[in-house]
Amino acid sequence: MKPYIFLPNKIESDWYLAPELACWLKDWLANIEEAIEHGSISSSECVQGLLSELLLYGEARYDWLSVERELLRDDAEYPMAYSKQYGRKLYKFDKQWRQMPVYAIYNSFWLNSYYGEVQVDKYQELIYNLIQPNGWIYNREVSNTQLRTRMKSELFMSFAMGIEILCATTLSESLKHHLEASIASRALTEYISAEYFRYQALQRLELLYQFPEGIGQLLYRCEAYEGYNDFCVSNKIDDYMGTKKRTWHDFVIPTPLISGMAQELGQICKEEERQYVEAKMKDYAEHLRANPMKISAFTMRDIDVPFGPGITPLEVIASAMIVNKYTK
Amino acid sequence: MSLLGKIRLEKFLQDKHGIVTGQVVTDGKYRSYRNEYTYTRLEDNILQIQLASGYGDVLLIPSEIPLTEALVAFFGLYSGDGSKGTEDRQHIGVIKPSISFSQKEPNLVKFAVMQFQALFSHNISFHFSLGEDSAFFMAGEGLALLETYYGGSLPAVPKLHIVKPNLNEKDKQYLKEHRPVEGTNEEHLAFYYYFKSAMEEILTKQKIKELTDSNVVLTTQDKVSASLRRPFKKGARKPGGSSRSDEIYLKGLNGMGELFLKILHEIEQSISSDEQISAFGLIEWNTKPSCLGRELDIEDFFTCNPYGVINQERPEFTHHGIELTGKWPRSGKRIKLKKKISLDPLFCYVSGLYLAEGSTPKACLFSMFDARPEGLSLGFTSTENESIALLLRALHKLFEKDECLSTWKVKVGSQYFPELVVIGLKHGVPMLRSGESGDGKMRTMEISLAIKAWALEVAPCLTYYADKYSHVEPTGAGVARIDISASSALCRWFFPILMYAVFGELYSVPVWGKE
Repeated sequence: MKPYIFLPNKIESDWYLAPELACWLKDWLANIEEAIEHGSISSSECVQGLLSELLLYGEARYDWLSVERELLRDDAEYPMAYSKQYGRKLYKFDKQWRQMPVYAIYNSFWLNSYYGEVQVDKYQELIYNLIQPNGWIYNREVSNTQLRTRMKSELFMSFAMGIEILCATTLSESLKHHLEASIASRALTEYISAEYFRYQALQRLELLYQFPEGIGQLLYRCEAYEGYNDFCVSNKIDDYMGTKKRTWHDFVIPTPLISGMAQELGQICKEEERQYVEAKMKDYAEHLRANPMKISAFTMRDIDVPFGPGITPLEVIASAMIVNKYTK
Repeated sequence: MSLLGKIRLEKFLQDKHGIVTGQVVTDGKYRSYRNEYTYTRLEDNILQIQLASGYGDVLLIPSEIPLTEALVAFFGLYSGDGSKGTEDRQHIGVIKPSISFSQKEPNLVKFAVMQFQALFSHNISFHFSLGEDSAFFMAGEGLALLETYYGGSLPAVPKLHIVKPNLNEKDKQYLKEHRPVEGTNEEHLAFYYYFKSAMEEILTKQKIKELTDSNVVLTTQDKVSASLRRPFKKGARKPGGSSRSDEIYLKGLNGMGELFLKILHEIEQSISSDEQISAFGLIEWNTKPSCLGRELDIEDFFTCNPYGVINQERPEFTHHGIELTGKWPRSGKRIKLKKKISLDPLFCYVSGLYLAEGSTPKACLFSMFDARPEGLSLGFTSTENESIALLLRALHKLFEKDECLSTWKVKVGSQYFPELVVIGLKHGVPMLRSGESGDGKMRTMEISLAIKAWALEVAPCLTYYADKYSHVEPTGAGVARIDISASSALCRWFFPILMYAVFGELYSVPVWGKE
């Protein structure tokens, strides 16, 4: 069983978890279970529910497989990102909740794999059908945004997820070459998450030598206080017009999830860069251990209201991963 | 002219020892402003005001200025389209307010000029400026204008090193940038410098024509100019694309920005809190603002008033007990209406604000009385609770509360897409969008739902309408802002009254500029 793709390592049952975070996670799970009673669940919540229980109890207690099969499939048994009821959380989202992005396929694949009940060929067929002529893997019916302005992390994430499913059995040489050409034609991005998913894809394809130059410098640029942010705020560039953004009023935040990705990428840096990343991760681990709830949210300039969440289940798990790896 | 209240300049300056200070929130940043004034009372209740430092212009202005419907509407308009100042690079978080105004629609430009003159009398002159991306002149209408200027065909553009031997820092930065357009940055920059003066001349003539067509009388002190930006630098994404911006700068008011901003804030604050005297005493309404203003009988207005028509047609009304409903010809929807509405400071201010910030095409609002309006819609975008709350309150004066808003969303500019991506990653999802360029609906529900919590905290006035939240729309540039819209069926009722509130006392009939 491979680790969930967002996380570099498997969750171990003996990991230390700060009581405050355990409490937060249990509350979150209780809310999710309540929502499931009303038929409301997303594919990402379903996987995070399972991961949360693995962290809290070392085993799955809720029947997440049934949830996935009963609420997150359409009539043709295709995996969906949202249950019908979840789709009602947004006004007039109409039938848009009925969508099958690559991550929904991957989540279903990973969850069923966990329970040992996966039909690999079925998932592979879905992915084959989503390989675009340009070699990238995404569902145009969900998002037809052109390649140039697609979010880089989405592009590489969907690619890496697709590759993991395809690599569950032997990949044909011709397809491997086709995929290799796509990923080898994209220079280093300015985003840690995109490079992390690139790394995941190349690792599974056994093509790590195709990783572009400059990852150590990117990690350096993305440092944020004790940890790492996904991007370097002063390097924000308009994808369309190539112009630099005026960013002097914007803030960065360190996040355990991105820092975990940075730590993994540190493994393929030059030795001195790797050691630098490791030293920084040790500091961040100490910080997270001392301040477990200090997982920040963005703010929109001076408006003192969180722009999106700080703590989420994935952040809690990533935090636990870092703390257990680097502190005693 | 119905007088709603007054601006008590002398009393305010006296009470506050000439110190004018406050805070603004612009683009999500808190910024303060402060200046110190001295004043002398001259004959006929005229004040002579100037900065205590001795710098800046000397302003002669009445010690009390009457607040008319039009002037209140003008402050609403300025709140949306006016400059709040620029940040002082030496003192971060401090702005130096300047009085200028962005507007292209000729009738609104004329209205703004009239109100500036009413407020500041003869102290001022105007500088009208038109800005444009020089890519506009590379194809289509702009190219045709440039060709006409050169007598039919353009001369060949020499190489950049000939046109501009010495490049400045901005040029060097421009050359480093990557753009997905045909041609090289060097060619584009050469085009810019080679045709710069011709392009400026064409646009200046165009602006002068627009001003005279709308009966703005230019004096010898007034100035009209045009400025060109480097191609594709802002807005224009292809040759021939436009990114026009029109500004009105005021001359003769140097140093008066803080005072002007304070008047604006005191008007908005007192309307928002419905208080007769504003928080720092600068504004005094004749009575509580909500009890002021001419009262319109809705049925009378849409039956008799020259402003109560659309495409020269009038609606029909039905009475059901105490309820009044109305229906426009060919419209499928009968709308429940309040029987009376007062043109109080709230309605006047919101009318101006909507003219500045509303999504309805401005030209449509001026032409709808005689011509068939196309694509009428009611939408409004703001980063601030105050503005949204005021609009909702104004709409509620005319419609049922549930009718005032049909849906709302959050628009996020491309500068904050990386943040949206991380918010998605925290939930284990990527950021997926509809639309080929990505300027469409967010398809990832988790991100939209995460931002809903932010929006409701920033704009608590939307709590009543929380279940009408639809999605995040990644689009354009700039900070996250809240976009609300109401049923288009409301437009035909709201817009004529809005136009009457702003222009009714200036033009007895909605035939612009002919009175």
